[in-house]
Amino acid sequence: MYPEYLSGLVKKVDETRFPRLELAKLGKAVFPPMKAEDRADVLTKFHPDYSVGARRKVRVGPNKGEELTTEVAELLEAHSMVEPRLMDVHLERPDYETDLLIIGGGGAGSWAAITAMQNGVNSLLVTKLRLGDANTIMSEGGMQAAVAPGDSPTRHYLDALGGGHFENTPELVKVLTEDGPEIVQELEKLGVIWDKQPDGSLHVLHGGGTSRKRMVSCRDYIGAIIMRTLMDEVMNHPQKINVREFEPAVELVLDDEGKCAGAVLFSLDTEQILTVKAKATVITTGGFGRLHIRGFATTNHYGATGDGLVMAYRAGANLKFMDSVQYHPTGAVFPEQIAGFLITEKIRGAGGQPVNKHGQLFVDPREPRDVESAAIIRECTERNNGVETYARRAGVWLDSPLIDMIHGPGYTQHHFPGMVRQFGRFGIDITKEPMLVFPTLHYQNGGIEINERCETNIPGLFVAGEASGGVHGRNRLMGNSVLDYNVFGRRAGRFASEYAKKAKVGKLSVEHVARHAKELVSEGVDSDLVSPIILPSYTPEDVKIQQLARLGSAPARHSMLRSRFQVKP
Amino acid sequence: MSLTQIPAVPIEKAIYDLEQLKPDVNTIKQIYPVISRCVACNTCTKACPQGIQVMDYVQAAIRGDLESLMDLSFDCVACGLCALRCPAEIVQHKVAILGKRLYGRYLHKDSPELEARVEEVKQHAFDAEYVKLMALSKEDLVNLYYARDTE
Repeated sequence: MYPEYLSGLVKKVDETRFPRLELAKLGKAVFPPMKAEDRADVLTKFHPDYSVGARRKVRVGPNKGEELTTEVAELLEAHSMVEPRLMDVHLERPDYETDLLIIGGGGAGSWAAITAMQNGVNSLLVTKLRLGDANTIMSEGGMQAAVAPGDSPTRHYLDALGGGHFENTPELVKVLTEDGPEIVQELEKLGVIWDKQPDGSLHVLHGGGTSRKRMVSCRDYIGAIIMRTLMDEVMNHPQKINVREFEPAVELVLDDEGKCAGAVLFSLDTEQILTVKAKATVITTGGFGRLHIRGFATTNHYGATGDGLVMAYRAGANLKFMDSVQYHPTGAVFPEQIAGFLITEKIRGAGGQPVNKHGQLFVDPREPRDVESAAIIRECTERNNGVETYARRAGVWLDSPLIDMIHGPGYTQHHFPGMVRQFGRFGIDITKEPMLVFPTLHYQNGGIEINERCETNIPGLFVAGEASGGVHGRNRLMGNSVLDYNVFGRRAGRFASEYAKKAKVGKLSVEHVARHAKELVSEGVDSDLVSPIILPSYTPEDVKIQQLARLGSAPARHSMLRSRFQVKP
Repeated sequence: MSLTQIPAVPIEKAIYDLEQLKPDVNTIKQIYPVISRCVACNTCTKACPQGIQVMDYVQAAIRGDLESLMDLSFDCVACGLCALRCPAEIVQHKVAILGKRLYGRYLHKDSPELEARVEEVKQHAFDAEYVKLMALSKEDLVNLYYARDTE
């Protein structure tokens, strides 16, 4: 039940539903899809990446002079938690020694550990929160993989390139799409329960920007199913995979030849600095949703603060496409308690339609995410056809009751238990009433530059999953990130373990951290932020200003005794 | 609202190799004999933030009914609140994931299409087309993309 001020507007959606249902039953696009020039127009005018102040030049590091997302630039220009002059003792006697260090305990990290183990290499997996407490477990809709007979990996390749505006790294997209079917099979062997037809063939649906039905799913809990399965497998091998929880990495360690040789950890329990010496290191720390870029609400979990980016950047790794942010078109707007909550794209794949306050369609429900988001923002701003809540959020309706009308009663309950449950908690029955939605901060399109072996420009450093950049270009399609962490997590495990078998580590050093501190001074960067920020801060601005130093999301500028961090060159 | 595992709850997870197991009625009881201690107090169900019928799936596990166990526990996010509250010290969410893995690995119907596609990729059936696509200029790719047919 919506409150009175909204229920009148819900009626408008009810009134127009029947003709829209007839349209959907024709099996064609319900609204004319945009042409290339329409897409470019709506993106440049309404996508948050193009708004004033969204990007600025970064002043330090390998990407110096490049325009990056403002919040990311601030993170990269922050101080380190580690004081290099005090690190000698730690580096001489590392707390852990391992062949393979994996930083991040989500899907990609778990895959890396499992594959390395199969390859005969034991690993140390360190994670900031708990194993599996990651964005992976929150994914809902599905994973793209060209498994249907009418589909092919090359078609998937073309769709992914088009979604990414043809800027994706082609070699990465090739392995992504090529490995897809095998990943589906491998996951099933580990015990993942895919949605299937009675004859055993996989149930596939459309996603935004797909030309064939390609989305395989596990009801709307794909992340929960995959992550729990991978976690269970990791925990079945305590002798081979050592998992350390609540011990986030805060800096990488290099050796005297510039190879990656481990990391510095900060134990959240004991607040100690710990060091790891490793022959190879894999970063699988995920994305940056909790930076709340442009003030947007986010779908991301609590630990998504871009830690891997910062560490790798200071160690000299190149970043790619870090000027672009993915806003998911459909985040919850009402009720306020779940503002930003992800409403899976599968809802639109199954026939849900975004409609404005007059109950009219205004965009094809299956445009790529950036285009769809920009179109919804246009509807709520320029065209003023959005619905405003008392909490002063605006949104458009996502007409979910259509789904049962198209596929038969009970379909929504069976295929979207998570959505039904989440809205049911607030007395909204999505099988009978639409949801109010607005774009929400969802994904880091770019990241640390890798090749198809997950290698970076630093020998011994591998990256996989959302932390890496290139595979999605400047816009990712639905279901390609689930595929991404599976494909590249597995590859990182394979190639990093091969590397670890041969690698020799020299003398450990954190000289690159000292270099970063000097560069901040020489470039005249005046920051009071310490990064990686580990946990996001929701401290009010006036309190942040008085803090000695900030571990927390930007902005604020004036912490007391800021000068304490000024390292003399 | 978000749900997560509660830090530092001592939980006994059994160690097993899925490839060595058989999906029969006694498998779960052998790996987690503790489930036989269930006194049907329903505390687990009341504790579940996902509204899952936890006690019912524990009973299904005792019966060795893997399909019901899978279906009832499908929405589990493995937070472990059930195990935390259980007076019989059953680890419900761990039992559930074992049941689901057994079901997914052994009882779910195989997809011949999937096997065929994986084989095609292994035989390099798409290599020539990839080479062709990767050699195209951006302009040709754009034309190809916007001209592609949609299912």
